[in-house]
Amino acid sequence: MPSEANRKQDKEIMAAQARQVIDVFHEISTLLNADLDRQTLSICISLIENGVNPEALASVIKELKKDAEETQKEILQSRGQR
Amino acid sequence: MAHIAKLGALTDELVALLTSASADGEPAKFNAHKESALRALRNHNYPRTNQFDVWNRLDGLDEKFRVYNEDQLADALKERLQKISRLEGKWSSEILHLLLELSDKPLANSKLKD
Repeated sequence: MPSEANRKQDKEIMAAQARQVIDVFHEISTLLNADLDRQTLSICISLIENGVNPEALASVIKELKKDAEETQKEILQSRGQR
Repeated sequence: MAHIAKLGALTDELVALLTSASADGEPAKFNAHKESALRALRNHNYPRTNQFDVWNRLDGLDEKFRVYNEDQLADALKERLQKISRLEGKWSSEILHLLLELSDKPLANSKLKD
């Protein structure tokens, strides 16, 4: 039966491996100019691992970014009018 | 049920990160974004990822970088793709598919120093 220390060590190795995978995907994302920060990318990876379709996720991300930009513009415009 | 709850929690985080809207500060706006995102993720007509198509698109990008004399960019991408093939197995094609869909003119905009 594995000891508590072994289990802890296994968990640490798995966490380090997961971090390494996210790091490499983040580098690829930068090379492809996909404009995703590390935290957003790691949520996207979790969503994909939970069965979400990548194309559907990409369209959701584009839509959310567009909405955020529009909101930002509205805020800047309302500040300019004051 | 647990699966739906997990999707909901991850979508919450995604919406909060991308729109800077929070469930406490602007609940109506946040919920509208979340509901529309969840609907789009669950009801869509996109086909499943074709891993051969993804790798063909990446090969095409490699070739394009080299044709336009961006060999360093092509080498950097190739090195990372080789690393990913060694590290991650099951979802690599789907994650790369997402990155390709979000990719915005990498030849013109990607810089190696980034």
